[in-house]
Amino acid sequence: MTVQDIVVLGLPGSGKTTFLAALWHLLTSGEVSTKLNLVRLKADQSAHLNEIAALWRKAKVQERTLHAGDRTVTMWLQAEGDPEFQLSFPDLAGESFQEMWEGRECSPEVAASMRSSGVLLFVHADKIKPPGWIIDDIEDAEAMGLTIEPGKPIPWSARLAPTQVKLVDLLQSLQSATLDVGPRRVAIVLSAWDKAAGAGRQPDAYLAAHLPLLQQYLKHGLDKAWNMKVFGVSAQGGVYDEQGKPVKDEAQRIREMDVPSERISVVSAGGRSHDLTEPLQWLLA
Amino acid sequence: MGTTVHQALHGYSEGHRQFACSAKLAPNDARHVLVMSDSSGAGVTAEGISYLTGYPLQESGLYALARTWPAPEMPRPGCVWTHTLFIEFADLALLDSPSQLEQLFRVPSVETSRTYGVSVDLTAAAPATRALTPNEVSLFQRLATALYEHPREQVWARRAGDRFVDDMVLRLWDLQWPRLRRSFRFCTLTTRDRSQEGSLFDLQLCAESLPRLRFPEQADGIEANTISIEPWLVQLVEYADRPSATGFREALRLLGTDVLGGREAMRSICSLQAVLARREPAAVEEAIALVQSSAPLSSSKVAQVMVVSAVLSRSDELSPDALGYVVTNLDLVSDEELAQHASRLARSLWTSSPPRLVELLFDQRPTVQAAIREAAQDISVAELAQSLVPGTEWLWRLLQVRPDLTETPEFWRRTQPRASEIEDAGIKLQGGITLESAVLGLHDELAIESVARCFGALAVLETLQRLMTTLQELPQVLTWVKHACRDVGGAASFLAHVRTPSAQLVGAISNELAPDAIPNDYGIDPWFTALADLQSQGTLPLEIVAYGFRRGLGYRTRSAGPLLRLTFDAMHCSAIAGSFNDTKWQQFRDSLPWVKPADAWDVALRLRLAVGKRSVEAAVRAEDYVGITADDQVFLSLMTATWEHWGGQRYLKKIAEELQETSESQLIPRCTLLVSYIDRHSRWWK
Repeated sequence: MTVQDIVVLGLPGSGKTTFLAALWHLLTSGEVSTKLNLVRLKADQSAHLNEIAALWRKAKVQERTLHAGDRTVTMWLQAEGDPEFQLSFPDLAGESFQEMWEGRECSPEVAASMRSSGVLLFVHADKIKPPGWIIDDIEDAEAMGLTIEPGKPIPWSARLAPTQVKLVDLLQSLQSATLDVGPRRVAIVLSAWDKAAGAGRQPDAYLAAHLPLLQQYLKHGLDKAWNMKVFGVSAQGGVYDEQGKPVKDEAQRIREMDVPSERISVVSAGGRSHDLTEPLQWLLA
Repeated sequence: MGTTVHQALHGYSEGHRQFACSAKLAPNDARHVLVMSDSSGAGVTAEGISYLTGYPLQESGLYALARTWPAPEMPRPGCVWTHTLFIEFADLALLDSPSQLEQLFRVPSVETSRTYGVSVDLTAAAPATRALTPNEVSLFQRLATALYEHPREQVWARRAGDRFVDDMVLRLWDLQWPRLRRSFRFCTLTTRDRSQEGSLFDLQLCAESLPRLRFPEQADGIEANTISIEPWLVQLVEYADRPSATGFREALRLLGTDVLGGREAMRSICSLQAVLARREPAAVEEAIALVQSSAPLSSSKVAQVMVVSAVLSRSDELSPDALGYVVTNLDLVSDEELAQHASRLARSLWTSSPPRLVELLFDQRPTVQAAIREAAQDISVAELAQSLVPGTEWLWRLLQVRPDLTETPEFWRRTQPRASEIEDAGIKLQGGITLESAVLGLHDELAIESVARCFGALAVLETLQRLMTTLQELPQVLTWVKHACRDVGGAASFLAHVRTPSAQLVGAISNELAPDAIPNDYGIDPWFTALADLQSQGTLPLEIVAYGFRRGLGYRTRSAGPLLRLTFDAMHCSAIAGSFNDTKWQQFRDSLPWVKPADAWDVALRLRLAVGKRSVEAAVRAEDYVGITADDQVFLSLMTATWEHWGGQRYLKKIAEELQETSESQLIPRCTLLVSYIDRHSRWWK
């Protein structure tokens, strides 16, 4: 039996857990046809997946994946007519990758996950932090409760770096010693695509427009043997209710949809579908 | 000056991160704090309450106690604020109630997030004295039962939203010894096991709504849902209910430094405290059994010290086994404690096992030896004597410490020792009280002989004399006299110096010694001195009179005249009365001068002949001769017996000449008789 590993990368809040919740609903509900079908799941993991899938169905915002909550979901999948294979899908907290950028280190467990040949890189299409202007930095500092004294230089903090810088660094790490395993396939998932879709661009173009450094690195910085594809994914289908806060109209609309799986939208150069297994299938091809 | 406590604040800003920290943490510890300060589990923030997490940071040598609050104001669900306090292991050990740290927690906010970067001072406060409510007791009991009856398991329990849950967990933490306290990992609200690799959580609580706490595949915790009925828990609850009870904390502090192991030791320690708190004698045996047989106490010196001290303080109610335990472990007791209880211990040991006490009297440990020796002095000789057994080796060692034992008759009565045995033990036998005790206590003839030889005849006879004046009966007097009289010099000395002697004693001496045995190389014959003294007290027994008479006739005495004066009249009267006709006097009669068979019956005649012969041969002084008898008729017969003896006439004439020159008026009548007798019997050749 083939064993396939996929590593899911992404900064905090980039949509990794929502993707996993929606994928689980998709695979277990059978509401829409998918390229990959679930054969079985590793014992003891259904509880966590059912929990996050239930929140997803109720259009509730997923709780943050916690530092200590790193877990690998292992499922056996099968494409029609093909033999089944095992897929390991680590659900890592975004903080793990943030720490790689800020602290220049990661735990052995995270490093082990990052040696997979398939990379699913999540970018929240609506929360891209552009290269900073001084005026923006001042706003950021005030948001953090830091008082800015005129004339006094603000010390640089890795945390303030733009999104694309952090992502490029993450990809560079994958080509560096200890994590380098040779050529890989990278699927860039622009999550919350429904919010970015208003821009009328295809995911590739959106990436080039909003994350030019990342786009250039993907083209010229990666080893030639690497493969890369961009997907726009809306796993939520809109704005969800936050726990303990007033109900939102849009979330109510989403809940009223007959088929929850139809909330899902996957856009790529190949077209549009509700099939979240598409990026996975591409990675495993 | 309080204890310095470092602190850190973690919260959400593009990911859960550290906002401030005053402690310099090792990198691994910093990462660990980052993970532990994050929300404890999915859905925890939805409970809307804060909770505590406690865990050690080994590399940094710090214990972290954190309170975590939900942060609903943050842009993502599941965000939290966590205020973590770091206290050095050494400082944690010194706190009576580490739960006091809780007073330093402050609810964080974005506005105050920068104020957590400096250390704070913890001012030690008296522990809370609030008694527990029934609900709190129930929770405390359940948690303690699971933690300490299943020391190897991860414990979990369901909890309500009440704040007292945190208090109960902190009270559990308070009641731990330093080493356990600093390794105890707990979290008062989580949905899943928070253990990281190699550091398992001891205690975790989850919301009541959850079916159970979620553990990873390879682990499974135990739910705290039962309450032990054993005494250890009663004891622990009592301490939790009275945080001001410092005795237990002190005991924990001491035991904790010494006991090997973690949670598994708590039951034993509490059981021990519970047993030691009981007053009945059985508790002592239980306490000893606990430290002798149950790990981890059996390897704890401190536990042994506690038990020995407790047992020692009750040493008047101990079984022999318990006493044995105390003796074996006496070196664990402080000098002050030993001094305080040694007297009671010594007395108990003497009652139950004298050899053990004697061993301690010669213990190799100087402090033990000194204390027990001092204590042994408090036991009266009468008490000591009651437990003495003859022929035991320890008896002689005991004597070295308590030589005054020889001053009680009971010692001699029970042990019947030879003098040599006592002297071999290094004890010099001396003193009137010792000899008196020996005389009163000994009945073994060999023992009597050895002691009599050791003290000498004079001391023995003087002692006998003293006792016989006060006691009705002295059973072994004849044996003592027999062996004392082997030293005739001593016996002579006694007879020469004794005042108002006992007739019985003098009689006993006369039975042991031949009349000529006592030397009289110069001065007055001791026998005369003694017999004269006796006679001044009253009538002498005939046997003693006869003995004195025979002494007067013998070759040894230098007081023949006075002795004959002292005894002759009584002898003569008895002879006339036929007192000597009995067969028992046969030997006496044979010792008298020979007479014609026809006169052999006349003992009085033979007595006169014997005195006449002796007077002539010993040249008895004139005044003695004329005073030998008070009866003039008998005096005439005596002169006849003397006159007829070879040399008697010359002797009588010589003393008559001496008397004619005397000026003593009482001698004149006898002088007249003597002169007229000589005149009458000298005519035929004039």
